[in-house]
Amino acid sequence: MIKALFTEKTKVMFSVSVLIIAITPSLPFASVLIQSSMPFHMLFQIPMLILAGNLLKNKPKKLEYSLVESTAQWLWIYLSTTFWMLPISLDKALLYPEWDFFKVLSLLITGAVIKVVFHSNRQLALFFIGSMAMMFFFVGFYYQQTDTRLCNAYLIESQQVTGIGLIIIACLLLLFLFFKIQQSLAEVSNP
Amino acid sequence: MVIAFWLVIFGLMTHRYSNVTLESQRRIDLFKQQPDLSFLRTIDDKGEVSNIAQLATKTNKILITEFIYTQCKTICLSLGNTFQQAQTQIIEKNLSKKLGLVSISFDVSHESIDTLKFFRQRMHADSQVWFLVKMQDAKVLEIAKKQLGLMVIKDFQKDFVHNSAFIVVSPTGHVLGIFDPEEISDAIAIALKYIALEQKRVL
Repeated sequence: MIKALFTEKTKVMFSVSVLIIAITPSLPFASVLIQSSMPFHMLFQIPMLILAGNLLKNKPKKLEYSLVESTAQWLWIYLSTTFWMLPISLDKALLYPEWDFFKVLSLLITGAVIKVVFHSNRQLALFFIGSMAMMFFFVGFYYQQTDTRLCNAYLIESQQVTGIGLIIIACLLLLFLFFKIQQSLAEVSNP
Repeated sequence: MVIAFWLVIFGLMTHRYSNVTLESQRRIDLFKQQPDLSFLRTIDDKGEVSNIAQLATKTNKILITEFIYTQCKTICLSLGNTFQQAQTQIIEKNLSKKLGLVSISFDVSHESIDTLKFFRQRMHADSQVWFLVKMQDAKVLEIAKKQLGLMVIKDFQKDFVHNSAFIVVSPTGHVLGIFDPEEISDAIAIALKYIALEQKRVL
């Protein structure tokens, strides 16, 4: 029991630490971190916020969600990640505290939704993961290749590094997708 | 419901789905509003206090302006090179009485008359064509950020990250257009069009 309590306590502490690390760059005294580096903003803070949301969410009570519920969950994940990949969203999050607050809130929700979304239709999961991998790849490729500075706040070098990071995320998502497909095939052949 | 929520949020962020970059929104806003630039109070490399609208009226020139700081080692240098080429073009085409260039430094704390003078020497800027000014104080910079969408951020090396564009100002001191750093020829073209229209009006 002591062991269980300890692990539970450690888990909570870890989740809170991740949350603090994720939120700190949005606070005025540390905002220079996201203001000066696009990779830090897009490849560190945003994934950290999603991770924090995921860690803070309790295990889902339901084990199975309806198609409508899981479609809504996947759409939230898909649309929120798309939204925070727009150059104007990143710029406005730096300029306006209200948009930055929305960023923190929406991405924490995204993290929480990710925790429950895998208890749903597998084909739907494969479809959305595949679509997101393609989106990350194309946005990353564009960020890396274009000569136009897309974000007012960042230098083009910063944008190119972010592009490479997004392509790596796309590759990781594809690997995850293949793993999930293989898992499904194994389950079909050994029911 | 999720789709409806995000449609509203996307619409709010992108000004009804019209812009995916802040820069394009800034340009559309400036083009629509054509603000008077008298709020841009400046000090030139001779120590004279003025403002951009006043400079345009006084010289009776269309001005192509850029925002820089003279210690910049990256984008401002390429903007400076573009201005050098534009200066050559203006002199060669005998347009110096109608068209001028203005480099506006936003580094209000470190820029001085001396650094502007040094920049003039380094860039071989002709004082009849290319004006070098700095913003008068931090208040002017704040107004420029709000009114013109100028983005200036200090980084770890105490350099600045800033946006770049050419703003074309009419002889009355109003914004005529805003162009990318590689679109200097378009900026000159709109200036020439304005000059041609003015000449027609006089005739």
